[in-house]
Amino acid sequence: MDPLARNNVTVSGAVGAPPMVFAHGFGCDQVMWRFVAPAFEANHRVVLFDHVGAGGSDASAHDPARHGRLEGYAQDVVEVLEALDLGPAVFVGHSVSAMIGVLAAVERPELFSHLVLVGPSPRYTDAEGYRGGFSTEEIAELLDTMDANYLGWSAHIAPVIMGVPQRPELGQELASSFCRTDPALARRFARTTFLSDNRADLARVRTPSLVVQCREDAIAPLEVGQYVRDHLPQAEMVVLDATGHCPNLSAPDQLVAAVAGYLAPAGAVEA
Amino acid sequence: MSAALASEAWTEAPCGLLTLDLDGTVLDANTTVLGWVGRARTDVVARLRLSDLLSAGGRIYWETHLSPVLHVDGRVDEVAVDLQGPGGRQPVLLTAVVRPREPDRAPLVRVALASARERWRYERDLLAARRTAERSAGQVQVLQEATAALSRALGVEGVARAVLAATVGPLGAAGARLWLVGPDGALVPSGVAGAPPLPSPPGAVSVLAGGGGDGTAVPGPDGVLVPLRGQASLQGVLHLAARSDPGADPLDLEVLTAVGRQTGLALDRAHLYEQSASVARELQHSLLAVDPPDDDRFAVSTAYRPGVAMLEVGGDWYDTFLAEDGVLAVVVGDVVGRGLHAASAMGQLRSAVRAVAAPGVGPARLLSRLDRFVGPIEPAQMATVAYAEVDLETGRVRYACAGHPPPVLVPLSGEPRQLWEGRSVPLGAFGRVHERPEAVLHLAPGDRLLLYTDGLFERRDRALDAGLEVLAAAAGAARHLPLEEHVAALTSALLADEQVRDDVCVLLLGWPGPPFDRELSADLRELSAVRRELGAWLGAQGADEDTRQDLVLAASEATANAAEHGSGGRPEARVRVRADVQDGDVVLAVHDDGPWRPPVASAERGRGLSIIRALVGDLHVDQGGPGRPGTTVVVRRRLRGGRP
Amino acid sequence: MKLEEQPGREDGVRVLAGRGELDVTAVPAILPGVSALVAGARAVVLDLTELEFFDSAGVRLVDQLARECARRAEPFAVVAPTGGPSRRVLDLVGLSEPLVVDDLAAALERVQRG
Repeated sequence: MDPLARNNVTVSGAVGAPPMVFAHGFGCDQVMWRFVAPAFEANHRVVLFDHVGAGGSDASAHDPARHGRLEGYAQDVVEVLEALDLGPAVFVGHSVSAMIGVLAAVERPELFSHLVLVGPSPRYTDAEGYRGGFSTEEIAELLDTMDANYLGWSAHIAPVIMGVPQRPELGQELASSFCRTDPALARRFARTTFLSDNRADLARVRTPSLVVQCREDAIAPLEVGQYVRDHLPQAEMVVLDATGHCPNLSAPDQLVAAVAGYLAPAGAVEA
Repeated sequence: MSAALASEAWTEAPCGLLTLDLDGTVLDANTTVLGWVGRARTDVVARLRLSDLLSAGGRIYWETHLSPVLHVDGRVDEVAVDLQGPGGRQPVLLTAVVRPREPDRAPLVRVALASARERWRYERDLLAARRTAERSAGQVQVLQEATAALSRALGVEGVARAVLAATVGPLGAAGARLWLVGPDGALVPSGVAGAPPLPSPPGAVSVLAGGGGDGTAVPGPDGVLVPLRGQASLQGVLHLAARSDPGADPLDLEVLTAVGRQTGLALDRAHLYEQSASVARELQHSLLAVDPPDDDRFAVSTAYRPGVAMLEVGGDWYDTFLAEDGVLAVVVGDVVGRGLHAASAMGQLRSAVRAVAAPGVGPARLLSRLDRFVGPIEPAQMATVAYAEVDLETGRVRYACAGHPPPVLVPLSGEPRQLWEGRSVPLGAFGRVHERPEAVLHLAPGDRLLLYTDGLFERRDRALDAGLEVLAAAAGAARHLPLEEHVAALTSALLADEQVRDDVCVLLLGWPGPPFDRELSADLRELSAVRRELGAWLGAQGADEDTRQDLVLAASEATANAAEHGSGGRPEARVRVRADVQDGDVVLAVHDDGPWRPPVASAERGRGLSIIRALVGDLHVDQGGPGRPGTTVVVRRRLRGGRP
Repeated sequence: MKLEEQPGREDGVRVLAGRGELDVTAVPAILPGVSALVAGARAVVLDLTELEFFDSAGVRLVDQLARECARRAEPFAVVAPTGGPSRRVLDLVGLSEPLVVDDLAAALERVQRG
């Protein structure tokens, strides 16, 4: 199966420029980058994609064995990069995709020039000497909540034409399919994400990295972001003056500025 | 409506109402929702976010799903979350709308929460029922796949392989270890799959083996132990290791118990099958037991090799018997199909051939009579047969083939060749009796005739002609070996590839030709001629050069000795020199009518005797007896390669 | 068959040879003439190379020739190539050492050494 079709890959921006890949996190799809990605199109070849089971990806490619581990998703990312063959990429990963990027960069360092980790967490559940933020009971609750909303998904399944409140210039063309994932696949993705432990993989990263964090994030608390920064061999950290887990939606300008500033020697970015 | 009424309507509405700013901070909340979460207004407004009021799961859901959707779509409808209150959880249905931006006002989010307790109970039941149904459907699917694989499996080994493959396939284990109950009742390791668990401590496994379990799968050390229960007893135990990936499903004990039972029953069937297969083979072997007639004028060696990966007995046979005095019949045949019907048809045909063969019948007529014989016997129809009659005195062969691969003549010198003459259709073809041809050939002393069935040379990936060439070459290469070794060398050369093939029957006939028998007078005038004739006969029998020289010398010495005893001066006395080949040895007998006298009379004769002894492996003096006058010196030596 | 002196030698060595078969029927005719065969030679070589058959009677002849030569103090050697029928029998009865050599040159050398 062609990785570009499998992962609903879209490419835009400057032809021949260094590639920049955006990877969405748990719960959503590539649409969540709509306020961030365009800012980099002038100086980068911008790549967006959906993980298998999310957005417009090919759900038939979902394999319980492969996609029961984050390494499986990392392998998907590697295959997409190889198929694109654009050279070493800046990889911007949100939430669980931050760790997926870490695993891919450990496996194939030559495919990555930089890692930008937005709201990362190497392990969500608490452990001996480590505070991830959640207990296993709370993760079980999440899975129940997701199941409860399975029956309520029907409201979102019918395409609805919506306006986008903050960016009316984008018009009303979007059929609302955002965050609409097959419930069975979503459940498995949730378990894979929230029950993984990839703390040991941080030290194996050879790629220069930036950790970006909101000052208050209920999913990936500040101290988890610091843990990530401390355990990556070459990492910087920027804390945004914003709250919530999705600064790419709630504080896109700040996020753009942080990333552009980190990449500054590589190229300027439109304001 | 007046402002006060409107305000009251909002505050006391029977649903929860909130206004938030875009990052989730509560700007206003009504009494209903404050009551649900058990907090005062001052503790909440401008201090908490909506997500702080939700259960942990709801909080994660808000951050990862709902808040992003609000940012992109501007609304969420009827999402089920739980509010966290002092007395427990309040299930609600949440609807939120982002108020479109006006030029100088920051966007707000209007949230309505409808109590969903009753609905939640209903939905929870629905969900549970749905989950059960999905799980059952999933279970049924897995069980079907595993059962299908088990029912296709053949033999105990096949079942073991099938169940191990299922463990890392549809059953979703990381690995498995299998034990089967052995003949003495103890558990024997019988294979692993994937990343198996460490071998269990004997205690856990033998508890199940001892019947301690009630047949259900039980969680054991590092995984799950599944008893494989047959109809009457435990057939084995399967130990499964679960996958450790975070996204993996746990092992389903119900499904495993069912699969364990299916496997036990499959093993029952497999044992029964193997038993009956061995009974069938014994039957076949008894049918093939052949007692060739006792006659020095020929030798026969046979071989039977059951088919590789063939699961039932087949219909191949060979036979050898005297069709009439001095005429040896050799037969190889192949009944169509496999199984007990084919084997029993084969037995009948074999007997029929013996019954029909008689003086004056001959190969062609015999096959025609078999056409009539197989008429009413359906499993015997279309059988192929190669039949030959050999005159043991002259070496003349009459032969005919009913659809069977051609016999091969392996001459002592010259190229082996297939005998394509005398061919006709298989027995009972087209449902009628056929007039059939036969052909004749003459064997020279030392020639061999090879009959066989198609399993010897037919291979799926090789043209028939090529196979026949390989067969002829292999037969020729081993032709100087004693008969049994010749057959063994032929079968190993052709069957070494161990590919899937049919049964193989091989029959090899050796005809040494008439023995050497010459008399000469005691004056030894013909000694030189006898030496020459004996040398030629030995060569024709396939003796190597060393053996030829040595035996001719031994015969000459023995003849000279015999002339000396027997003549005692009598010119009419005669010496008889005989030689024949028995079982790869030349047996040379020199006879005279006189009594044996130890050769002290001349040192020369003594020397002659010691020469003989040095040349041959075995020397024996038969001094005759009453009614058998005279002395015979018998020596024996390997026809080839026997120089001491 | 007959044993005959091979002509053309000038060194006084008498080379006796024959072709055919030297067996129990041929030897009795040769034996009486053994003395005459070896008398007056400086040395005697018996060349069995051309023989096709050789048996215990042939052994007896060789034995007789050897004795006669010894009586006359004439060196004696026998040529019987390895692998041939004569050599086989001479080996079997143990007469080959030191009498028998593989070729005529070696035999001449041996008898000339004395």
